[in-house]
Amino acid sequence: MLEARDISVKYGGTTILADASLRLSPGKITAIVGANGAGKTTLIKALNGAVPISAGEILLDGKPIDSFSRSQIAREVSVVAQETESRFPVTVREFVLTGRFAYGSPFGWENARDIEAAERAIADCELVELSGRLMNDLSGGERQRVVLARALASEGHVLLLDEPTANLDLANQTLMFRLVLERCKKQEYAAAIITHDLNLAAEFADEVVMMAKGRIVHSGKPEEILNATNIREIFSVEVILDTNPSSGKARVTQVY
Amino acid sequence: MRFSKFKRLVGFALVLVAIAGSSCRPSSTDDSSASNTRIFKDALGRDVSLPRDVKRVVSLAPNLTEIIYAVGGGDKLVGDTTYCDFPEAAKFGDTMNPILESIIALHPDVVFVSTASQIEAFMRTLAVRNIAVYVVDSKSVKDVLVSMITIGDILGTKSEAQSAVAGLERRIDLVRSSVNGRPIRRVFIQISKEPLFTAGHDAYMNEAVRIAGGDSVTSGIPGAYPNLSRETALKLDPDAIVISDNEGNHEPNSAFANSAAVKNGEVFRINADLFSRPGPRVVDAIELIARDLHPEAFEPK
Amino acid sequence: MKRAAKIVVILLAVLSAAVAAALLFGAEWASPFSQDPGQRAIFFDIRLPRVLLGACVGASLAVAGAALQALLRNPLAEPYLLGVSNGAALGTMLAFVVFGNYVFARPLLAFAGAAAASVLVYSLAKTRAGMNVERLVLSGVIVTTFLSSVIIMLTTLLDAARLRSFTFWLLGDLSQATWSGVYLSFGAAVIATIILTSQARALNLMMLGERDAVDFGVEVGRVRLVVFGASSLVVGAAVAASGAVGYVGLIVPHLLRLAVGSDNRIVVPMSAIAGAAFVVLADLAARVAIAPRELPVGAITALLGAPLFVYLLRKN
Repeated sequence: MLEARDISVKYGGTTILADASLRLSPGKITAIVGANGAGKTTLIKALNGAVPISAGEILLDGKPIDSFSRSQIAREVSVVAQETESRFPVTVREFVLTGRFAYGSPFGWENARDIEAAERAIADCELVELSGRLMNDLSGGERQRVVLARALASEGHVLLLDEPTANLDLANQTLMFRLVLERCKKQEYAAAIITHDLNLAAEFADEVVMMAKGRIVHSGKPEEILNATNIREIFSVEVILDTNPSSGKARVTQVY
Repeated sequence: MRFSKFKRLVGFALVLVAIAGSSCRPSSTDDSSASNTRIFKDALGRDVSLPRDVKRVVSLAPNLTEIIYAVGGGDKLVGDTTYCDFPEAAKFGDTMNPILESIIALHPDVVFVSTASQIEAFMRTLAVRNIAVYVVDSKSVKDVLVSMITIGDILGTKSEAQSAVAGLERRIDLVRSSVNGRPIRRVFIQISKEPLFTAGHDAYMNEAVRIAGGDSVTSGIPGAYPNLSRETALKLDPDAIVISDNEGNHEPNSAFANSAAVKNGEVFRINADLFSRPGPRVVDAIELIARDLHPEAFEPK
Repeated sequence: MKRAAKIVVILLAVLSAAVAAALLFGAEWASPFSQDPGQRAIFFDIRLPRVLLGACVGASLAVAGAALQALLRNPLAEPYLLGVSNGAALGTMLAFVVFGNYVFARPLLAFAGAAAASVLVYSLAKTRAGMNVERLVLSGVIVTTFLSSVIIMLTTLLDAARLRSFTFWLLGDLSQATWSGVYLSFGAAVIATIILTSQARALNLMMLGERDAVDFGVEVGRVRLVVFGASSLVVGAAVAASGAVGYVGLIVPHLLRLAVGSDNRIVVPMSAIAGAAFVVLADLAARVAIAPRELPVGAITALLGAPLFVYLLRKN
């Protein structure tokens, strides 16, 4: 669906991403982990064409991403970034509706389809009660859910999420991952999630990609990749690995 | 004063000029003996103590420079501004100097300023160095004549001043008698064309026009140089327009397009230097305006 | 949609009332139906073009302000504070000095000046991480005050033929309204409002974050170009006719947003209508407050706008 082949990204004279290859397929969740500055966000930005690549190619549905307009890309690929405060008063509903931009024309207004997609996203993200409130009146965690709702409203079958759980409490973190999981399994979405939480990655991801210094160092199934050696290499911390008793997935415990 | 030049003086382009090569002589700072000094009251009501024998004089206003020459004190002028352009001798040359230091370096006995010069800020600094500052503020033609006598007195040329003033008074009387009895013209004084500025109640020019046999239709409006509504200008329908002629102010504002003045060609331009400087040449302006307003009064019989 | 229609109706009613009041009152009594040709002349030659020009200038500055605020993600952005108005004023002054009588040179050079100032402020404010409020306000203030100084210097030093006083340029003044100025300004205002409204959906996204806008399909570079271009055009036409009237682009969109929300599809075009009403009323005050003397209209808008600017600054 969305594939990066040996891409590199340069900024100024510095290479910040090199020889990265990644394939996102329907139904699959890919977790991207690594230390700060490893190039994770750059990889995500390159994947939807937001940032130009200096080598390699990005293919969307088999075709080079440059052959698509930004609107076409936006209908296929949705991005969830970090929430930020807005200086303008915007309601939750208005915010989510802006996600339908790629479906409309310059002087157009929202049609029934747009409203339906937005309402469904709002419901899925458990925001119905908040939908008339102003964004700036919400907590950071609630705003992050709205950002997710906007991405879901645009109905792109590829979801790219950049640390979507950064400010969320435990319940919301799980909610976010569950929603992505559901979309992937039930509606054949593909997802790439940047996360710092190795346990969530182990729990929900089909593939884990480990990055360091602008390169993909390891990639594969969580149970294969997430071991103490790799984690020490990427994060410079000591961990113990065992199994989560309730789900049977790998569990990472840090040694302090 | 000419409106735009007025602003320039008030702005930061005030420049002081010194005679090239003039030798600096220290001014007498010894005022211990009362008989060496005289007290003059200036326009601000200050008592200014000046030496009996004033030798070096600085002028910071073009009108005051003209007065100094008119009363015979031109040879005592050691510094003036680049705007001091009359008479020819007043144009010394041009150097850009910081004003305060230039004044001090010239060691003048007195610095003449008009209220428009706005150097209140450094009057104190000059006072500390015993450099006297004498403020002149002429609000009327009579004030100008009086100030000429006073300045002549200060410069030790009182009798020359008196005869200069007498000559000016004769010319004014001649104009008065020539226009006496003639119908008074309704005159609009245009100081600036766009935006439209005119002479208000506190403006100096209304009197000149009055002496010349006209009535300034805006003399009742409060202020000196009010920004006038073009609606009012149109309504006023003056029968003559006197334009204080300088750059940007040569033509009447378009609000006057259908006025009696424009229709009958009664639009007169008076050089702004003559018209707006409270100095001896205002009499030139008065004569010119009188001839414009009442030409038949001056035709040779 | 229904809500938008209601807002349009209300604002149009306000504008009509403002225009009616402005035509009714002035320094002199002037009725269009009078038998007196003098009164008719006052009405049709002086008051009517002036009121219409005020409406066009107000619409222009407000619509540009609304769009710039959304584009730059900053409620404090507006043509005057960003130096765009002064850039246009400087351009027009140079047109006066160099091209004198050639009336078409003025709006052209005004546009160039406005565009140059926009680019300058934008590049000063941009950092690798993107734009932030403080930097933008700072850059704008620097550019606008610098250009003010240049304008003052030019008016005092050059004193060239037909150069108007700096109160005209720096504070804005509708007193020299001509019919050709009205036509030009009207045309520019209409075109700019249409163009900027066409970008409103994109601006709704950009206003929330430039990165997000890209992700959701906005051609950010193109939107920026179009908005800067259209704003410079309309500000140039307005300033060429009336000097740099300040704070209109700040006050009007802000008050509008408080009343109707931030949807730019409503805020942008409605700012034009509300801006027109605002300047017409401000100019009415300027004309009658100390009649027969006049205040420059920019003095009134600044009196209202400066405190609002401070309030907005503190709220941010």
